[in-house]
Amino acid sequence: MTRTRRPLLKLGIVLLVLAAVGVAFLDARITGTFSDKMWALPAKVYARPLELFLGAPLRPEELAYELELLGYAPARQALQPGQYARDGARFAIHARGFDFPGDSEPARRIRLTIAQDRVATLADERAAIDLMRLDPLQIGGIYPGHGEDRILLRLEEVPDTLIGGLLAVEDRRFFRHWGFSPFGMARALVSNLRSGRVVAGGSTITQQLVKNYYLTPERTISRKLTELVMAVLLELHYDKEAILESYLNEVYLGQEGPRAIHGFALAAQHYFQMPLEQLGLHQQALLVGMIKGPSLYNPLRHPQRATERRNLVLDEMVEAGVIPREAGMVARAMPLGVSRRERVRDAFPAFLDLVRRQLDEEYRQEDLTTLGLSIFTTFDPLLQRQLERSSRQVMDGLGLDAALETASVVTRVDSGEVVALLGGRQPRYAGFNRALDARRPAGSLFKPAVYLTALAESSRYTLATPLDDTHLSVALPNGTVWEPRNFDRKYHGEVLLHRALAQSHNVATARLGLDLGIERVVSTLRELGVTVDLPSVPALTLGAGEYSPLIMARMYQTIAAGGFRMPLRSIRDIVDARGEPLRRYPLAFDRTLDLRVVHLLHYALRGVVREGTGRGVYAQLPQDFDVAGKTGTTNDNRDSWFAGFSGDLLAVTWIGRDDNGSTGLTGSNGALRVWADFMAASARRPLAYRMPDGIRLHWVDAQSGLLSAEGCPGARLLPFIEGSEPVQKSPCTGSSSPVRDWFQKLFGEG
Amino acid sequence: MLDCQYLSAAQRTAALLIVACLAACSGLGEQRESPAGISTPGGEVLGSKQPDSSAGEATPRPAAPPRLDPAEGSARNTLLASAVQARTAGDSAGAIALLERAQRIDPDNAELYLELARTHLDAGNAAQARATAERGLLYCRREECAALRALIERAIRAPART
Repeated sequence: MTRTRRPLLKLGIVLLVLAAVGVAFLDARITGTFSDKMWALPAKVYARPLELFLGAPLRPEELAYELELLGYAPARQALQPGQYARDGARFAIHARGFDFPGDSEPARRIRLTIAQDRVATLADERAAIDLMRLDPLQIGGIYPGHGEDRILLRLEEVPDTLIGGLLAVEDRRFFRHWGFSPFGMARALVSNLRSGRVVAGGSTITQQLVKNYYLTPERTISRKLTELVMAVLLELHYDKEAILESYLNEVYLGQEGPRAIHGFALAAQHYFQMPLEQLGLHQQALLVGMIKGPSLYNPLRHPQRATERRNLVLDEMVEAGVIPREAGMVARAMPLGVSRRERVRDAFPAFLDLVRRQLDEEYRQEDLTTLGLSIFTTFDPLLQRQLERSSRQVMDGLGLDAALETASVVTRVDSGEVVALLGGRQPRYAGFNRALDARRPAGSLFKPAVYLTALAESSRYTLATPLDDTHLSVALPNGTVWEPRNFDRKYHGEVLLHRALAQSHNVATARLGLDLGIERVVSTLRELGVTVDLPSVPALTLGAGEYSPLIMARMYQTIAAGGFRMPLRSIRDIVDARGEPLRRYPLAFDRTLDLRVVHLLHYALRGVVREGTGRGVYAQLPQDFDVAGKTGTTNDNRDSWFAGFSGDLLAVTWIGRDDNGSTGLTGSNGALRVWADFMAASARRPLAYRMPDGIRLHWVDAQSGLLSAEGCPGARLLPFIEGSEPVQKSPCTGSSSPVRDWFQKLFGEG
Repeated sequence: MLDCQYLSAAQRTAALLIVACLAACSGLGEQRESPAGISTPGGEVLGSKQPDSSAGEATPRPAAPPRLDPAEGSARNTLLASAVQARTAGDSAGAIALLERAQRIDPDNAELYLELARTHLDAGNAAQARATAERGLLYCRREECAALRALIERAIRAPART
């Protein structure tokens, strides 16, 4: 065995080869990732923008709330975008502007006044405006597991003073070095040796970028070496501007719960509610100063420390000639200027949950967390606030029973847009979303399906057809016997069809459903948009099965829209990171039911709230405001339901217990009260559909249902599908003693 | 100052090694904060300040506005005019988006239903055109109703698109 000659040389060669391989590997890693797509851009979820136009229904206090949510700062004069001044019902707003799908809304100063809860005047600095939109509220985002969030910026959008300040503080030789700065390192070395510990770092912007983007935060020699090599490689491949832009996008500037604030564009939004371009010098300096320690210098938590740090940055900027001394003085005298609004992000977990489920059906998780999509939803923060208020008020009024839960869904009748959603009594906490996931029997909320099925057969059934509400017993295939009972434990004999629904008689409804055939009731429920499993048993007529408030909202949406089935929409548009429309969810519906039949059902459902189990709604609504609805109560008072609609809004409310225990409530004294409280504050249009062609009004005897005449005792006016009116006449043929009921008053007759 | 453009790879490597030593001696860079790790999901909580519904405002009551409100008419008409323009230019998606916005402003306006139905029909979507016009019948008055009925007839006769 011979001794190896020149062992050091050989070892050196081996090491060199290894180093070369290592460098090549790092080089591939850099060139493979450093591009536009290097950032994961979480999807942003927006509420509907508030439309401002002459005549827009809006209370001054609602506009103020919307502006507060949007982080507009109250000021004596609205000088900067994001400020507003209010004097009672007069507002001056400097709107921020926003790029909507399709068109963009410019930033501009507007003035508007509100009178009688409507926008009375609206103008910008030059002239009156027809309509405009405020920027939409971001209600959430869809973040990747590591929680990184950012808004991508381009170097052109960054104020020169911010870049100047950044380089003055972090890396003065940035445009002259090649990735690392021996000068800076030497300076750091001297100060570290002097103090005997690590007090300064000589990292360049390039090194910081490499460290943040590619490396883990440990401090080891090998990691530092890798950082150096990569920094040089980065400089070899890319120009200074690209590196600077990436740095400005990457830098970590704070934390909000699980969400990490990255990049200057998002930081500007996060701390100041402003786009980066609009930041003042004092705000730019604060952000630059925060790089050193985002939580140490957090302006919200440590305003004093943050101010000192900011002023230090301003001094450096003056010293480096980035800004004139006077400008530095002025900026030093400014307050921090951070926005202290209530954080609304993820404050509406139940609605976001609904949006997520729709997205998950169509998009991969990875796309949602990386592609920078903007998701424009139908969510209305003003209606949501009212829904939460009404629910809280009524639930608190029901006693100190914390286990009593509630859930509601609110939609727009005309579009099927879900505008508000309540998943439980604690609306801020993501948890069991009862609006979507509760599975409860529907009780009498299903009855309209039975009556629709009957009324569709106009030769057999009209609103005036007497139904049999006497003892009923049905032998079931499993050998048991089903005997439905009325809520009042009584039988009512012969009851006219419209009255049986208004009074919610169980026995008459069950018999009617059995006469029609359960399969036909099932098929009507399908036409109404109930797509979940339906048990084909006689008890289906009284709501047997398991349904969520959202499913009930789908069913009642079809009824409220006049017999048009439409998907409940929570998303209007999705736009990609460049602002290009990706997907629209247009209004779409199909007519599944005869308009005339639905009109008759509307009559009966209006009867529910005028003279039936839902009368309580008029304790809150004005008498002349027409609505329709249905109460629902299940066995042993386990569930209290109310579903109903005005001309513009549909709301379904449920109250019950997660353990399925008794609530002691009926639909009338539980859910109805939430519904009525909400509608009294939010509904703006009464139910006012035109009477469809082919409907005729006739006087019938309210007891027998036989044809009568105006002025006869006990006569009432009912709508009939042409030709289906009763032929048999009651003894009276008419006189003149007009007693107008709610229906005639609505028709303006008599 | 050295200019990296004119440096060979070998020179760079040498320089790197020198600098690496410097770096090692100068401490390992200052400690900067890093993003917090993943924590349990949970929303940001709104301030505990709850708006007091009784604070100063009168109990809001829904007021039935007159059927035709001239004020909201101008906003609606602006959008309607743009939508007609978009439709005639062949941009039915744009027209539909404008009409939906107009409908949110003035939801029970039969004219908007008519134009929406027309746009669907022009785009070859006869079924949606028909359903839209039929829904418009719930809001129409006089000549609007006649126009909607005529459009329904046209939609029924329109050849089915494959």
